[in-house]
Amino acid sequence: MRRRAYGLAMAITLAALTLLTSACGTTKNAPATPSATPAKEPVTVTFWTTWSEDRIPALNEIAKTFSEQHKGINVEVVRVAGGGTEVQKLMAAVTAGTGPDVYFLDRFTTAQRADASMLEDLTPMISGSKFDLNQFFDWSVKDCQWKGKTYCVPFDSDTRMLYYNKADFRKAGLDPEKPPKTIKELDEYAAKLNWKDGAKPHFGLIPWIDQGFPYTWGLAFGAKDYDPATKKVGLDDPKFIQAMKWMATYTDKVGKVLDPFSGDAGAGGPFIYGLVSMTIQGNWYLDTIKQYGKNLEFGVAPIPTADGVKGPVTWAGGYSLVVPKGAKHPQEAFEFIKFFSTDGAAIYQKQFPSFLLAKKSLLESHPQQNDPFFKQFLALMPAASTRTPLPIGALWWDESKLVRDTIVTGQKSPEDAAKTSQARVQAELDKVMK
Amino acid sequence: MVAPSSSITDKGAVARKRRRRIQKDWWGWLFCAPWILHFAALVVLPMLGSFVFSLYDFGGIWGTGKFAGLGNYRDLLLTDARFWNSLKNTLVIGLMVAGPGLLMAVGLGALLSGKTPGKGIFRLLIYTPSVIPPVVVALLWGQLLNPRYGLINLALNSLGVDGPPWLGDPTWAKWALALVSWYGIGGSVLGFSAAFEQVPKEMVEAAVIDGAGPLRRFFSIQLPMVSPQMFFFLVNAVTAALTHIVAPMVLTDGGPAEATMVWPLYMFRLMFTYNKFGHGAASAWIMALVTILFLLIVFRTEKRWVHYEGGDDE
Repeated sequence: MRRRAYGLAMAITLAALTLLTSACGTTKNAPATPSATPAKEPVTVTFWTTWSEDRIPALNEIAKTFSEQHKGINVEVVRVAGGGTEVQKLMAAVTAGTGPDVYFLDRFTTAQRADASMLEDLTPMISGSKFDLNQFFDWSVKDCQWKGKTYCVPFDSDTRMLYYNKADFRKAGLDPEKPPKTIKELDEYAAKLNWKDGAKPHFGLIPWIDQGFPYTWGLAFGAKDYDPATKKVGLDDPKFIQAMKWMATYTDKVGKVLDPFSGDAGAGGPFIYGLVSMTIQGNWYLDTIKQYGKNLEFGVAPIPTADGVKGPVTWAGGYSLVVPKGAKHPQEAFEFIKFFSTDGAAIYQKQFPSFLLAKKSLLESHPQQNDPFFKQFLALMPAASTRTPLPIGALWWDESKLVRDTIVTGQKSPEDAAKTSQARVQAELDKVMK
Repeated sequence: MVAPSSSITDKGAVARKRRRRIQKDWWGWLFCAPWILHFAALVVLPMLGSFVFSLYDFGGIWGTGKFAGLGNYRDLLLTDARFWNSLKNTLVIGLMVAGPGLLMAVGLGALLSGKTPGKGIFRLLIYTPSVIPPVVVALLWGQLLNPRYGLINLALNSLGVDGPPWLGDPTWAKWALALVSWYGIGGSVLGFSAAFEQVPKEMVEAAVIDGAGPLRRFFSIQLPMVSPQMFFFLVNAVTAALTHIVAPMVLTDGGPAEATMVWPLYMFRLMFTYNKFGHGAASAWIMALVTILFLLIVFRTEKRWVHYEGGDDE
């Protein structure tokens, strides 16, 4: 009886072990059965994007059009988590050998990801196919380059301006057709535009919200993010510190809080909901106003600048297309990238007309080039600044925001905050550049 | 007179006994095998892999970096102020969670022991939040803690108290994260409730006879008798504090101004945002050693304050 019980237990254990080990295997690893006449099977290029759900139909249309024109290459658009400097899913996949063939990467991080060996060098494929990078804005192409090699193809871009509420201007006795041009005028206007709406405060300007990043205001004060001659980042540039000191002065009126509205600014943001009269935002915000603030009476103007700084100033961001390391179909992936960044960009522009693409000719034929607001963003594109491609780009960006956060919440003086972050970022950069 | 057994017979008996023991042990090992394989493959190997990673300076793709020895550890411990800040935040928030959490668990456990009316319903209500996924809890608390329209501040305002900016202030953000973490004390409350019910009734009755009042009975008899449960709570609290990432990541992303940048979140940032995989792995090993150190301290002090019913020899 005991032997039968042991035998039964043994059988159950072996069965369980067998099931466990068989579950570890995958049918994908099983060798393919060779056919008598091997035919070229269609290739599926996997394209990962972190963009929001509403963009996916446009991306699917681009993928479908590409496949119709390139028989034998299908494209699968997959939405994944992440975005900006968050690429953990891509990193894990590349390490595991299960990465996509094409990825949408925040362009200013290209140098960092290339330095970390996450991306394929596209230079041979670009020169081999004679793909002309001059069709894109040169600053967007520079973002794609690291140590003399090209790792991405630019897709889109954006510029930033000062949005202002004309009705508020009139209420404060300001001329709505004369937005501020200098930092001094900006301060004067902001002071007149501070009031209380019942119990709710209304602010003329909160410099650190929306696109009011330290980099934005640093440009307005004439600061440089990086000096190639000295190989130093500019977080302790006197002009940058001056910009941060100026930003800190607004905590007297707004308070030492990063988000004075505590997220209660709706989907459109504080400007649309009449909580702030002036703000720095990008061209995409025009679509947001159309959606959430149809009756808003507003204007756009170049970002005000400090004395001695020649305007207009703005900076351009944007995404790019890369082939992650270990992609299974790099050649086909590059074919898709060439299409996506050119003909695909034209398809995208039709669906999202307030977006700026990096391909120069698309601006000349832009459907909104006569729109009184959009044309001002368009006009800034050729001379836009961009964040210098650095192998510590994400760290630099986070540290610049930390400078802002530390100053606004009153934890450090602008000089101390800037010098602390400068030391940290420079130490990392020096290690990489050795 | 008993004839002495020969050496051959002795050897045979010993050999048979060894065979029987091996046969018996073999079955045990066979049944443990699935767990052992799982532990080796999914815990031990990744730990060893992580240690190897920590000795290399690389950006996340294995094979592309260079050997750094203990350089990553040196960088973190000697030059990385953000690392120390994350350690400080982890300890401070951990204390904020564990301290009041222990008081609440003990207090509620005591109230829900014995013949309390509605005990079952209260236990269910207190325990239910523990089964909600942490991300969902964090998102819900994000709404509750909104300074302008969240229920917490609306309630405070109705009492004439100005609610704090919670997640927007460096100090209040820490308390906000502690508040979010207390939702999970349901399991501990049930544990303490059961522990209080296990306190020998004769000890309590003897105290009553000796004239001890309720408070004296609670602090001198009941609380010492549930000290093993408190010890278990502290051990769990230490490991929970040092792996606390969900609420900081979802609610504050380490802000404002890195006031809630806790250790696991900084490790994640090192690895995936800054492409410093080796440093992130080194950070994990430092965290493991600190966890062991804290647990050693807790275990070392056990004999001084943990009382077991059978005596303090356990």
